[in-house]
Amino acid sequence: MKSLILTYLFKTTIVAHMKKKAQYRGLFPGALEMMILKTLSWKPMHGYALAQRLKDISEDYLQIEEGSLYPALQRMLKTGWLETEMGLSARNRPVRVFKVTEAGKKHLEQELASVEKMFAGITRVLTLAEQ
Amino acid sequence: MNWLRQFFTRHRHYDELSQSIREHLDEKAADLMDRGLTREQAERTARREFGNVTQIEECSREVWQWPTLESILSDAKYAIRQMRKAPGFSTVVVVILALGIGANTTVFSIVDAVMLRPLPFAQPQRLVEVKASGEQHFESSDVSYPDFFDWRTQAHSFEHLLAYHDTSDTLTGVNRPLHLDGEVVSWEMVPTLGISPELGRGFSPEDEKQGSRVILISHTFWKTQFAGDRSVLGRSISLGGNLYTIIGVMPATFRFPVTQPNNSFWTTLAVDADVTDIRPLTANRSTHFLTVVGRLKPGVTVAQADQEMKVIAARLAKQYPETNTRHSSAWVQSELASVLGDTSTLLLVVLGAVMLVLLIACGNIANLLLARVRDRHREIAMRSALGADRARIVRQLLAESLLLGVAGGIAGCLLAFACTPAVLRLIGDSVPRAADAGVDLPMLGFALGISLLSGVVFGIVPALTASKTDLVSTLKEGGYSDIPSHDWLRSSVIVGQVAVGIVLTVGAGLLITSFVRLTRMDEGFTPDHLLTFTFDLPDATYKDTRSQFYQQYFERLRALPGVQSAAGVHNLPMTYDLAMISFEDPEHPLPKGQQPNADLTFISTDYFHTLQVPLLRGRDFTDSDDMKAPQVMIVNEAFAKRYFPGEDVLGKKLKPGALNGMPGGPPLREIVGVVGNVRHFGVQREMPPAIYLPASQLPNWCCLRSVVRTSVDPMSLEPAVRRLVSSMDPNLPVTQVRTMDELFSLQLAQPRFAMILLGAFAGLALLLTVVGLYGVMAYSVSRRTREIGVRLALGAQRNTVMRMILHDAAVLLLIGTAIGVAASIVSASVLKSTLYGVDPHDPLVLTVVCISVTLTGLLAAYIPSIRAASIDPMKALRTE
Repeated sequence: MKSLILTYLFKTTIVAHMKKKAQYRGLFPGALEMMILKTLSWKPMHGYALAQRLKDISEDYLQIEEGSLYPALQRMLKTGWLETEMGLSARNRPVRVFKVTEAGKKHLEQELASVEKMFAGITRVLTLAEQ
Repeated sequence: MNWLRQFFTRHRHYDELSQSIREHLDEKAADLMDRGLTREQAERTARREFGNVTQIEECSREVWQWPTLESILSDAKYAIRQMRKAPGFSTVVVVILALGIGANTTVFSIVDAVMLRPLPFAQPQRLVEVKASGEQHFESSDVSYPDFFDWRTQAHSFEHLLAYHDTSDTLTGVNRPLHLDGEVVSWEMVPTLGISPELGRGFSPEDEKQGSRVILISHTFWKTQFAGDRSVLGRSISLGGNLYTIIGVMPATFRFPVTQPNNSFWTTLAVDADVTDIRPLTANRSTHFLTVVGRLKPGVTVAQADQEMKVIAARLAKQYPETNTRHSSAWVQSELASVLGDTSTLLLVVLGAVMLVLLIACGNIANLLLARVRDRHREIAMRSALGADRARIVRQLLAESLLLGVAGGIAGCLLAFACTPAVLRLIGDSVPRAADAGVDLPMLGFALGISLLSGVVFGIVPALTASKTDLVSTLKEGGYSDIPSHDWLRSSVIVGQVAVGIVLTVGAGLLITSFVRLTRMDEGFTPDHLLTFTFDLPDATYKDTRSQFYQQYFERLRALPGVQSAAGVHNLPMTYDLAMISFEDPEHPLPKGQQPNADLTFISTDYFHTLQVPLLRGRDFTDSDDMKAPQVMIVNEAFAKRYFPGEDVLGKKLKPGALNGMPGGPPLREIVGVVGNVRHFGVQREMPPAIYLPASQLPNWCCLRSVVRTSVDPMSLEPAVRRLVSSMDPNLPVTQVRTMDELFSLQLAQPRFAMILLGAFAGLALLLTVVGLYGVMAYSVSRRTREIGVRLALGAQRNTVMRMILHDAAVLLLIGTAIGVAASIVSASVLKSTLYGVDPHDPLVLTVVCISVTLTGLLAAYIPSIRAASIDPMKALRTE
């Protein structure tokens, strides 16, 4: 269930992002950031690896422009949820990897909690509405 | 300060961003190559799947920026580049704007100092002036002591009422006797104004009691005379031979009245109470010479106070019909309005004029910009083809005009800095509080405000027009298409400018005519080669010997080399001194309150001879007209005509209400002479009736101002005069040494500065209009080169072409003139109160202005018309 929600969020967010800045006024502000934080807190990664990973776990359901991640990454760097450091890529090349900060972890926890609450509410309504 | 750090480290972020994107693409390409793609294919695929690298990078960078600010900055940068690309154009615009904004800032700094700044007292909005008046406002007058005392006890609208009048006295007992200006006030000065002494105490009600002599001194006087000694409290100083105890020092910023910045002391009305006179001033209900200021109680409006005072005045008029019939009403107005008086009209007229000048300047610049839009058509079309929307283009063009506005504003401020002192010198003392004006921070804010406003005013229409570009046709025609509406716009701007120019020029023309009439008006005496000065003869020393002193003094004065004749006078023309007196005609007795009145002047012998006032009938006063002789008087022609039309006034006996110190009230006086009318003020609409009394028959009246007719330069006599007075009494400092020409010129200061400023602004407006008209005609000729070429090729006469251009200009001029004349007729009446001897709708002024504006305008159009006529058809047709 959770992964389905994430996939849905991911899709809407990316599409919205392509339409300029509208995404944050949309239904799920902060969804892309949440997914990035979740993925990166599993392992620090560079941009390409992050994009690949997001694609893989959504089982290629999403056909996205990889570049769309970058504005979001910059925003998160600016807010202080992420930081960068030098690391190695899968091919052992030196690359700049993104890593979740303490602030980022805290933010992720809060967001997950509130999203879960929201979906619990929505699910409950959807389940019980016609009874 | 995080944002600040980010601002400075963002270039590092940009680098890292580019690096990350590069790594991303490399890694992806390597993966793809592993799957068997060639390097070239792999790189292309990587890029395709990544998206638009440049756009994504830009989007990501924006995270670190302030988008609005930075796009404004980039607009500004672009605007600066545009300005530098057209230096000639930019210079012209900046110069035109600098003139407009500089003039506005200068005038506004004066308006601000004079009209907008609150009075320097606590809660000044609660301060009002209360005037006595007849049934109508315009008869408003000063107040008598007994009336003031009644007001003070009966009125409930005020926390305090304060009465005051000017005074001056000689400080003696110091190294050199010093002439000091001061004020006699009722005890409420400190609580009414809300300004406390910096040292000591304010007056208390006891200080008004007869015999009390206490004094508050100014900060400057304290510093200069007592070196700021704090033990000055309780010390006594001798003023006019009387000892006064210093009870306090007022702070340095204290100025009361605001129009008298040089006052050195304030004392209570006790000095007016115990003159060992038959009737002290404080008991004389018919002597009106006090100004009354009140502090309204919180929540009481001016209108409520006005109502209450009217009721009180009416009640007093019933109670004291003999003295108060003429003052049966009162009115209350805000203190600021009363300090300003008529000046505010004049200042607002000047401010309006200078704003119109700026409007004309904006019109010119708008026209220049409209012409430039044509040159930049292609550039703008290209920008919209590349995706700029209309708002973006308007914003860019507005940024350019705002930048021009700001550049003009900065130059204007510099101009204002340079001009303000000169304008202040021109204004002199003729406008209260003007001396405080200066280009300070709020004024710079004002200048910035009007700069931006002008930027919008002259930029918006060209920007909107430019952004309406029809893309396809413009690019197809290579940028030579034209927007037909431009000409219509440009022409209306010119028509508007001509109209406004006419209004300003008519205003200036009226003021100039009025001023010329004022200077040419007959004064009734010969003002050149007259020296005037004054000194006090204090009661303490001269109460009984004043007449003898004057007699001796004038004898010795007349004997000085260079002196042709000399006399003494109280209420000399061209000073602001004036007194009115009512008189009784025993042959036609009237109730006391309705007696006629006239201006009063009292003089020594030889006065008419010295001023060269013609003696029309009868005789002048002589030395034998003393206390023992029959009491006499002289009247002017206006008096004879007004009160005794068709009769011989010589020998008539009247009783002017002037006490001569003898018991039994004012004596009956015989009219022994009639003299010509004398103009008392520089600006005076009519010659009122006047009575002259001999000073020798009013020995208790003080003091005479000396007036000397010289055969040499009057000012060269100053040292001799000072020596003479000081040889007679070293405690008599001579003050106010002025020539009559100087006094006359001071009186005309206000009309003069209004005339010069409005004249300058009208000239500027006319110049800008003519330049604008020239620009529009020249532009129109250059745009119509091909058309004119065709006409000429088809056989048109060069004269016809010239006439065609002149005709176009004439149409614009005539429409503008017609509108301008109509607007002048409507608006000139605001000048009414500042005009003398000329009607606001004077047809001569209107005609002269219209003809000269039209002729100058045609002259400006003549040059382009010659150029049009000299177009070579071959060349004109080939260039297109």
